[in-house]
Amino acid sequence: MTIGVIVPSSHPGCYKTNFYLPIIAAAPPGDAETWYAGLPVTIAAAPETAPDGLRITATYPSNMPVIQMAGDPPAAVPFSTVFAMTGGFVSFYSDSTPFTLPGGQVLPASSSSGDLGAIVLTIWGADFGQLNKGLAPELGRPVAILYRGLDKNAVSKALEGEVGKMPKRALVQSWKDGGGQGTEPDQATLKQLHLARILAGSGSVFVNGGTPLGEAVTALSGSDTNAEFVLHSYEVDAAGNAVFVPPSSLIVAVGGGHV
Amino acid sequence: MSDGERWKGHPLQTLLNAPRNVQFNVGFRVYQTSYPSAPLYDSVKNIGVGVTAYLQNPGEARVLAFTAVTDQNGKLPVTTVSIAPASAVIFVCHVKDKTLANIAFEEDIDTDAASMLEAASSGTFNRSYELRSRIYPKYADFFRFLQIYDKESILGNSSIGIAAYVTDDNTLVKTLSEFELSYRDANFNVMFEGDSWFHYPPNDKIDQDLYASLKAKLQETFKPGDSTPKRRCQSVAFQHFGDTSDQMFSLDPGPGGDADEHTQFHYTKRCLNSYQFELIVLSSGGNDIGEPGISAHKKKDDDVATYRKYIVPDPAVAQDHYYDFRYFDPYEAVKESSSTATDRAERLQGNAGYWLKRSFPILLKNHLWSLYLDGKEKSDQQTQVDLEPELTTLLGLSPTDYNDLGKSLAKAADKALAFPDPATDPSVDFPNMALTNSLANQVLDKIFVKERFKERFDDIRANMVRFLDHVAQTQDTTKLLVLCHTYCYAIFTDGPTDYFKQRGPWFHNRLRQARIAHPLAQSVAIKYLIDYFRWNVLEDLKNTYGPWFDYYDARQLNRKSGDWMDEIHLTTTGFERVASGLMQTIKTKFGADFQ
Repeated sequence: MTIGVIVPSSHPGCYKTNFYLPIIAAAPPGDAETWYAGLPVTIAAAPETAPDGLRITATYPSNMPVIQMAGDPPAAVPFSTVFAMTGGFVSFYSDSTPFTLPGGQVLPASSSSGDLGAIVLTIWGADFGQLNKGLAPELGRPVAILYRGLDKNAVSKALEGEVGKMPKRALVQSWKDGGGQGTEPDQATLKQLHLARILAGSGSVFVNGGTPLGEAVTALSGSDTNAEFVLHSYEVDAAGNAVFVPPSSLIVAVGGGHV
Repeated sequence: MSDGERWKGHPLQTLLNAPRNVQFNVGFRVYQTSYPSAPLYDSVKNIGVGVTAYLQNPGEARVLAFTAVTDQNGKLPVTTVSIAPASAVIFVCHVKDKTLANIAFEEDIDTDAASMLEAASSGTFNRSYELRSRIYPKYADFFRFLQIYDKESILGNSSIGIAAYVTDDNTLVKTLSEFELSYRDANFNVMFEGDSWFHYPPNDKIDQDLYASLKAKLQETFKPGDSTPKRRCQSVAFQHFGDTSDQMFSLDPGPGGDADEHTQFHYTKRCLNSYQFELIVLSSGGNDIGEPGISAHKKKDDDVATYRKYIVPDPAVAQDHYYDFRYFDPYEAVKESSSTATDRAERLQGNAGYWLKRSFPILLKNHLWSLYLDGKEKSDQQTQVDLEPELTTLLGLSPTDYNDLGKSLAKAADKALAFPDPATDPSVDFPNMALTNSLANQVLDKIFVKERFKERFDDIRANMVRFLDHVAQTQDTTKLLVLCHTYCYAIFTDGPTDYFKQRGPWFHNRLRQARIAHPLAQSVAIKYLIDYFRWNVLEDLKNTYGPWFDYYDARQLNRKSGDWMDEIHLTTTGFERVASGLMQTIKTKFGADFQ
C-alpha cells in the first residue's frame, strides 16, 4: 500500500498548535514532574533505526489500566492510548501487509497476530513551521508520523468521534469519492461510510494535537500489561523519497526543544 | 505552562533524555581564503590551542563539559563525557590575539551548537570544524550601535531602527555574512561601497536604487545560461542610509562613538585586508552636499520665514533628535554657557553645531546659517538674490524667457544645462576665481561661499583618497576596477518622497531660505555642484590612480520627469539606465565575456 503526503500549508482561521507526546497523557497544570513520578507506569524504548523506528513499550499494573486526562471533568483513558503528536490528517492502514513509503521504501508487514494497523499522521502546516524551531538543527524536518502496532478496533472507536465533528458536505464528498451514487444516505450512515474509508486507508480526518488516536496493542506479562507500538517519522527529499527522521528528535522537540 | 514545564518528568522524555556516554573525536582547522586549511595549532610557538567544550540545554546556562588542547593535527584528545541527548555542544576555540595560519584573530571563536541526539544514540561524536575569522559578527554589533546612536544617518534618527524595518538596510548588512561564508579568490568578488543619494533606496517598496539595479545585472551576467559561467559573482554591500564620505572613510567615530570599531571604515578596511576584489563600486560624495537628515522632512510651517526659534529635543528619545534641527534659528539657539566659544557653531545647543557645519545651507552665501557662522546679523540677509542680469546675459535669455522659466522647474532645469562646465570652459573656475570678471563666476559667487564650497569638496576628495589608498595597499590593482559615477542633472522637482511624504526636498527649501527663488538659479546651482564633483573630484582621482580607477559620467541621463522619484532620487527606470552605463564601463575593463 502506498500513502501520499499532503504538503504542509497554512491553516485558515484560528488554529492553535498543541504538541503532545505519543503516549501517557499530559500532566494537569501544576507540578508536572511530581505527577508523572506518581504514575504506575514505566516506559522502555528500543534503539531507533531505520526502517524499524522507535519501539516504545509502556508497562503498567493490569489492575490499574487507566490514566486520568486533565480536563473538566477529567477523563479516564487506558494507559495504552496513543495520542496525536501534532495536528494533521490521519489515515489508518493495515499492518498485515507491507507498507510502502513515498519513494518506494517498504516497511515489512507486522509479524504480530491480531487486527493491527498503523496510523499515518501528516503534520499540519502550521505545526510543521512551529515544530521546526525545536528540532535538532542538523536532523531532518519530518512531514509525517507513523504509529505502527495499533489495535484497529480502538482506532475505529477513537476516530469515530473525530469523524462526527466533520461537516456534512465533507462527508457527502467522501461518499461520492468512494463511488457513492443516487440518493444521499443520512448523516449517520455518511459518518460510518467515511470511517470505513479511513480504516481502509482511502479517507482521512483532521485531528488536533493531543487527540487520542487509539490504543497500542497490549499483552499480559504476569500481573503487568505491556502496551507496545512503533513510532516512525520521516521527511520527503527533493526526489520524493521518504527519509527517516529519528522520532526521538520529534519527542525532544515536543518536550521543550533543542538549543 | 510551557512545553518544557508541561512535559518535565514525562516517562518518555525522561527515558530519551537520560544521559549517555559520548566519545568525542573532534578536530579543528583554520580556514584560509587562498590556501588549504591548516590545523588549529600554533606552529611558530609549537604549542596547541586551548578549546573549551560547553553543553547547552534549552533555556539553561551553558555548563562546562571539558577543556583540552589541540595537537599538531588540530585534534583534541579523545574524551568521553556523559551527555543528555537533548543538549547541544558548543566549542569555544581560544584564538583571541593569536596569529594562526597567517590569520590574526581578534576574538575567540564559538562553533555552532551541535545536537547530541544522534551522538547519544551512537555513543560517538565525530566532527571536524573549520574556523573562519569573520568580520560580520562585530559588524552586526556596529550596525546595532548605529541604529541607536548615529544621529547623522537616517537609520540612527529612527532611534529604534524603524527605518531598518521599512527598508532593506538589515538585508544589506547581512550581505557581509553571506559574502564571507561563500568567499573564494576565484569568484568575481564585488564590493559595493555606496552611500550617495544614488545608492540607497529611499524606500525599496517603491523603487530600487543603483545598488539593486547593478547587482541584478551582475547576477544576470553570471547566471547559468547556454554555457555555464566559469565562476560565481559574490558581493558585499557596505552602505547604510545616507552616509557622508566622512562617515564612510573617516576613523573619527563622531558623537556617541569612542573607538575604531565605531566607524564604518574600520570594517571596510578589515574587509579589504581579508578579501580580494575585482570590482569596487564606489558611490560617494552626494550626501556630503545633500546633508541627509538635516534638511530632509518638509513641513508646511517649515518655510523661509518660519525658522524655529529653538532646538527642540524629542522627549520620546533620550538623545537630541536632530530632525528637529532642520530649520532652527541659530541666533536663537545659542547656549548661554557657550557664548564665549570661538567657534560659533560650538555655541549652539546640543549637537546642532556639528550638523550645521556639515549642512548644505552653510555653502549658500545668503542663508541664515552662513550669516550666523560668518558673524553677521540676521538683518544682513538679502531679501532676494537676483541673478537675472547675469543669467539672462550668460544664457542669452530675454526677460520674457526668464520669467517663463520661473514657472517651470523642468524647463528651468533643461535651460540650466547651458551653464558652463568647468571641465570644458575655462571661464568658470569657481571657487578659485582666477577670472573674477566671468559672468559664470559672478553667478556662483553670489550663490555660494567659495571658501566653504572648496573645503567641502576637498574633504570629499580627501576621504575618497583615504579609501583608495587603502585599496592600493591591500588589493591586486592589476585585476581591479574601482568604479564611481557622477550624479544626473536633476529635473528639479520639489516634491518629498517615501510612503508618508515626510522626506525631502533636500535642496529646494534651502535655496529658497537663502532667497534664491528662481528655478533657473536653483538649477544652475545644482548643476554646478554636479559638474564640480565630476571635474574636481572624480577626474582628479582618475588622473591620480590611473587604470584601476574610473567613473561613469551619468550627468546627461534621465532627462524626463518620469525618471525621477523626487528631487534627487531616480525611479527604477532611471536607476536601471545608470546601471546599464556602469555595466558598459565594467565590460570595457574586463571584456564582454568576463564571467
